[in-house]
Amino acid sequence: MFGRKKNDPQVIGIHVGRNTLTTARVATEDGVAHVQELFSEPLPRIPAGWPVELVAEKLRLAKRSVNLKAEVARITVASDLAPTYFFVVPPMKGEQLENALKLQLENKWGNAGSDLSYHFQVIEKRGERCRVFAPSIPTERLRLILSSFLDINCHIDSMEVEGVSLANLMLYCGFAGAAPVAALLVCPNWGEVFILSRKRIALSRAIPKLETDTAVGEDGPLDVPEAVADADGQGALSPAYLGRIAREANKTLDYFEIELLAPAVTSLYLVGESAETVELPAFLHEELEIQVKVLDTGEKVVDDTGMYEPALHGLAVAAAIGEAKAGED
Amino acid sequence: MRINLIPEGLRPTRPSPVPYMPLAGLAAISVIWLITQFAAASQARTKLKEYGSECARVSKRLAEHKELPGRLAHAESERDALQLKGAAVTALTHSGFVCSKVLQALAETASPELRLMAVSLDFDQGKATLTGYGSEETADIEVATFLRSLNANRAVRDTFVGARLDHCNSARRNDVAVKQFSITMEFREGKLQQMIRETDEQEEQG
Repeated sequence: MFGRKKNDPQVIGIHVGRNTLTTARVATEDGVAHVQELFSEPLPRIPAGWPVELVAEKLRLAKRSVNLKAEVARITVASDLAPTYFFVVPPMKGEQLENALKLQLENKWGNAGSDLSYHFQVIEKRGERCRVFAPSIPTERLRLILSSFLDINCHIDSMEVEGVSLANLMLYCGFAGAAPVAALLVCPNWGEVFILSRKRIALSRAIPKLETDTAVGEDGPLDVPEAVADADGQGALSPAYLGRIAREANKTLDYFEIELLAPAVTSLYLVGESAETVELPAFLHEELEIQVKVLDTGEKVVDDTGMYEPALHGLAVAAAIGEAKAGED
Repeated sequence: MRINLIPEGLRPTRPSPVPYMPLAGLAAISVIWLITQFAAASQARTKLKEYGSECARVSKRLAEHKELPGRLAHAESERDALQLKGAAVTALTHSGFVCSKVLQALAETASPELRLMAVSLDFDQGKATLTGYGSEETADIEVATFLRSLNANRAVRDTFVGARLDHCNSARRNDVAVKQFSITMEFREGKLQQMIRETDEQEEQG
């Protein structure tokens, strides 16, 4: 009634990355997502920071390109704004589990003085222990983010984190099944490895750029390309940082395989601003000894704008798609 | 995977149509009621117009009915006058009017200086008008004398209430200056009818 409900509602997907703001208007028809409007702008900010005025300016620009009024608007945020922790807890249920996780999260956040908005999901039960996936965000920060969008009359219905969006996107595109796959988010100043297993996010590890990443690390020199930049000359990665990303990714894959007694990850998908770096796939393939590809959403996502790049804008589209339905993989 | 970090309390409450449904229903009912009322008013106006024209028609007929007695009385009086005229005409044309005595009296009363031209009868008014002329110099005196003689004549007095001079004016007759005069004599009440009746009786006897 009154034109609010449609069979194929258009959804606004928003990705707030570490350096970018991407907004996409997506309509799903016959199981295929159509990117109808797209806006992507650099959003330089300090980690865990929310520059209100700069965000407002970028959102005003976004509003000119994308109609932000839709049935549903979903946002996915980078892990500096809403970090994800994995906890191992004894088998618990209900309120007991919730209280235990709340305590763990408060310890992680160091009693920052603000309430936390969090979500948890038991991802694995093995013997006398459970692994729990728990993204969280201080409620004050959450309010700040929501108010920025409310200022342009955009009502955000749900907020998720990059790892979940990636899991949903890869499931939607048929890349993630029962066998574990990895995704590497690479930016000039940030990297993050996600391992997806049994259609869920099983592990993630952030690899922030350090001051020492301007030089070759102590772990010994790798055969790192000297000039590493993407096709546009942007998203350049320093060789030292790239070397550390490769080492940390390798450690994470080993940890997943050995400590969690999981099958080996066989493929890695690259996303993020630096994913299109020309020599990166070959370099990582050599270092990690697994198949490395730049994420391509293929025919499951149709670009109506002529601007869509899966590795760069895929997370915004993933936020719009939301939870991949059973059978879509 | 589905997660939502936004707690229930911070999720947007999109406007639901449900609270507006009673209002929309009320508005729809109001519109329907207004349309119905408008149609009813329009119908009533049409009927009122019809009744108005019907009322005007009836009023006209009523006025006509009210006029009927007056018209009847007028027609009856006209009918009486016509009957009288008809009788007079019949009397004059068929049996020789007994008023010849009157005419004779008039002729005998007039002086030789005066010429009598015509006597006309007005049955409606019940009058007889006598016209004539005399010489320019003496006519005034002659007419005055004639008028006095008429009023003194018995036959005239039996028939008429009296003789009255209407005018005595200068005029030209065959290029001769004369004075024309007119004398009106009013029949006594019922005299004219009596004369007609006498004529009818004579006719029946004849």
